[in-house]
Amino acid sequence: MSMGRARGVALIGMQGRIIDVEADIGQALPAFVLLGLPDAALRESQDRIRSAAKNTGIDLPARRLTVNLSPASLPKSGSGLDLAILVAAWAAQGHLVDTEQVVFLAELGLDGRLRPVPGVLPAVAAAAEAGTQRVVVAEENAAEAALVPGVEVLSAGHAVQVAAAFRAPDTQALPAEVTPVDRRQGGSVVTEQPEEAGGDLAEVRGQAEARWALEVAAAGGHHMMLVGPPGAGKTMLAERLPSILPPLDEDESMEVTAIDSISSGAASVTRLRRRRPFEAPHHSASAAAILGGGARLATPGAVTRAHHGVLFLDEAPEFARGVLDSLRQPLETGTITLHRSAGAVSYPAQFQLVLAANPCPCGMSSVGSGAECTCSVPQRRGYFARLSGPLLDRIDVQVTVERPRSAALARESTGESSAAVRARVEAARQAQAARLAPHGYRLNAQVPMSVLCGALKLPSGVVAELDAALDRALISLRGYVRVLRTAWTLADLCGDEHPTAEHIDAAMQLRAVAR
Amino acid sequence: MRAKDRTGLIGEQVAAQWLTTRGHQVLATRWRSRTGELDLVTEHRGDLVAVEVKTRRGIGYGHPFEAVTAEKLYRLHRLLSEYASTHQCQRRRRRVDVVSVLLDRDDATQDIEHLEDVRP
Repeated sequence: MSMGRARGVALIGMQGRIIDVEADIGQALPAFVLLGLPDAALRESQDRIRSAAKNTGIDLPARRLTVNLSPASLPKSGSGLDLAILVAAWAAQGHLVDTEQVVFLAELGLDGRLRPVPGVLPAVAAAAEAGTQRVVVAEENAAEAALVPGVEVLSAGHAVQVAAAFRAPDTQALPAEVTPVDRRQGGSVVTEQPEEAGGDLAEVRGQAEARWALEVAAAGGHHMMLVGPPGAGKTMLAERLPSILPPLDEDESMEVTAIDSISSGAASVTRLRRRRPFEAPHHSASAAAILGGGARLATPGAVTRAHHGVLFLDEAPEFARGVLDSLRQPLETGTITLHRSAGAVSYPAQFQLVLAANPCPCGMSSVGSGAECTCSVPQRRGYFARLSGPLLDRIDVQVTVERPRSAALARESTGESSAAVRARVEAARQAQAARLAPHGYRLNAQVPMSVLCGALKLPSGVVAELDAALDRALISLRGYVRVLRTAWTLADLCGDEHPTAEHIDAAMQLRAVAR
Repeated sequence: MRAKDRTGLIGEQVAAQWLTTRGHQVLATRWRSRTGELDLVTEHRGDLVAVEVKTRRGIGYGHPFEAVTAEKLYRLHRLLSEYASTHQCQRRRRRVDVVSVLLDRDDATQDIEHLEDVRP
């Protein structure tokens, strides 16, 4: 037989596409022809493959080897197809059989060893969805691939083990004694303990108002801003937000782990993530770093890595204004679509935004009477103006963080622990989920106006003050909706069935800091 | 005679014999013109065939076939048409074959491979 087939997966963003790898050995002078829009890294694979085959002891024939990566019109990149191409070539020679339905995902070393590749989890998930039952990966990727239920994962350290596993019955003996490939069934999920990393809320002294605001933001999934002088504990509070958020559920966990798999290096993922991600990019970050970027096909940025978690922008006014405003679209839609020369990719970007800011460049204008502030008035005005109105309009919970006094330290008892707060947050989220399930939402922060002013409409007595604020143009219509959302969260935290006028009032207070 | 030339000569003889058993009729060996040389010229199923023979004593420097470059193939095709015009057989179909001969230390043939109708 001079035709061989195997399968690989090409990742376009987070989407995996099955690639049929066909190899044909022609009666012509030795050459390696790779068809199907390979990029530079993939084109280099031909030299890796020849050397790997030679050093494995199963030489490729001195003939013309034509490899087609189908669908041919889809641009393919990276080294993850190396093993699939080699296996297809061996199958074309008749050394291997039954490789047509198997997905191979590994890079080859010149000596034939299998190297791990990034993005194995989304690739195997796509393969499983397409009906593949077996995948072959490098040893280091075995744990990651096995996170996907319903597939048999074969893992090996060297190409010769793969050759032994798929050997045709009547071929020459393999050059050496070979350890068999490791086989395991996918779906034997090992999960990370949620309490692994990050600080506990109990370490925060005082700050009763800020702690409460943090709890509200966590309960309803609201975006948040902390304003206060240097050293007040803004960063400390924000970093503890993931510790009071409920752990990721099964589907969320799969998505977040898949993002980890493509954005961090190869073989860094071994288990499903349970703790919500916390991304804190430095304020010098560019739009490409925050949103995702790259030359041919964009790679995920901070907003995607913060998916189902927290994006924390410390010293928010120091960020470039364009970068901050570019967050507005993912904040609304929960996804980010990036267009590059090789095509457009969409990444999920449902994150909870937390901003921290000083009240002025020196940070002292909110300390005491503000007499210690050395900033001029225009400086002070200009500083906060860098956070544009449309962005601030999307921040439901805004809170001032004061410097703690000695009384807070002197108090014997520390604050409540994260676990205690998380219990309340989870209860509030359950109440929301039960109420919003018929409308297809889970969190108050996601509910659109049509539902809030329709099925969940509040009696006019409760919203009287809010209506008045809208009529006097003190808040935008979006602000109106957002106050309602926060009010619902407050009611959920109190265990009430509906928000009352007090909840509406408190929700309006929570939006008022920056203006 | 230098060792590499002797290897080449043995290879050409082996190839000529081997081709004869497969229906080739050898018309010329080492046909020279001003611009180059054809190892073998044969006739096979009515075709005029230029045969390039590559001989090696091991594949440490790569497979013999890998030594045939596109440039060399262009030259072979050109030489073959030159041969055809000097031998009044221009109307024959022409093709170029490549034969690889692997020899061991005692000049015994280890392996012969043959590619028909090779184009650049």
